[in-house]
Amino acid sequence: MPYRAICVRRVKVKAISCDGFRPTPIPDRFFVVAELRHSSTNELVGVIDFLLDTGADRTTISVDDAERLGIYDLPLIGGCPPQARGIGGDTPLRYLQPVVLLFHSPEEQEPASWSAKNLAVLSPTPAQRQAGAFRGCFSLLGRDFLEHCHLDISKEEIRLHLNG
Amino acid sequence: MTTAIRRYITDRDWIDEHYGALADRYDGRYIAVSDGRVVADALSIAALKIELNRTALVPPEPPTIVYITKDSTAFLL
Repeated sequence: MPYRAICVRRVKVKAISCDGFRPTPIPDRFFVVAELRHSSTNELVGVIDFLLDTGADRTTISVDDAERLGIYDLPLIGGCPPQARGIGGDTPLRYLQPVVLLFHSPEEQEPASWSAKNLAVLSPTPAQRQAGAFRGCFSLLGRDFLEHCHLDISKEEIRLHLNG
Repeated sequence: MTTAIRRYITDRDWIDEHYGALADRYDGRYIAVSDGRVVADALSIAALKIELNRTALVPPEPPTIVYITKDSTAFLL
């Protein structure tokens, strides 16, 4: 199958200031916007702005995006591995039933697509929700997606081509 | 480009362009943006959805919802 270019959005981030220290620069972040649709019905669930994350094993929907799109109201599957491990500790995961992600391809009219059989959804415990640690966190486009791609990374840009 | 993605990118570009002013006004809150204006704001997404429904401000297409903060955070994912 041919590789198809996917639009990647570059976002500048303000440097972090600490008292008594010079602001610490943060590299730009790169996002990919995708349309999420049910595989069986093709019904639109919504639009998600994914942070490209070459260190994430799995593509994962954030708490904010799951709440925004009503994903916690959909039938979710428990699965293995049941936890997402990050710097902040472990968070339970559940999985969406098969969905398709559609991406804008600048070279063609038709969007590029990826079928995700087990898209992970962060499902924090009530205590984790109460702590509000997930507010403002991003959904991640991880290596289960990126292994179908050709990826060129430089300081200035990320170029992404999806096989399919 | 699909209609939903085009709408999101239009709203997102507007948010990025006005982020400083939005952060001054809505720091620590979620906002719903549609066609270049903030149509609702709240401390949580659940409260924002209630506000959108209560005030019948839901546009024909779903608004873009983002969390606004003055804090700059480095993510270690």
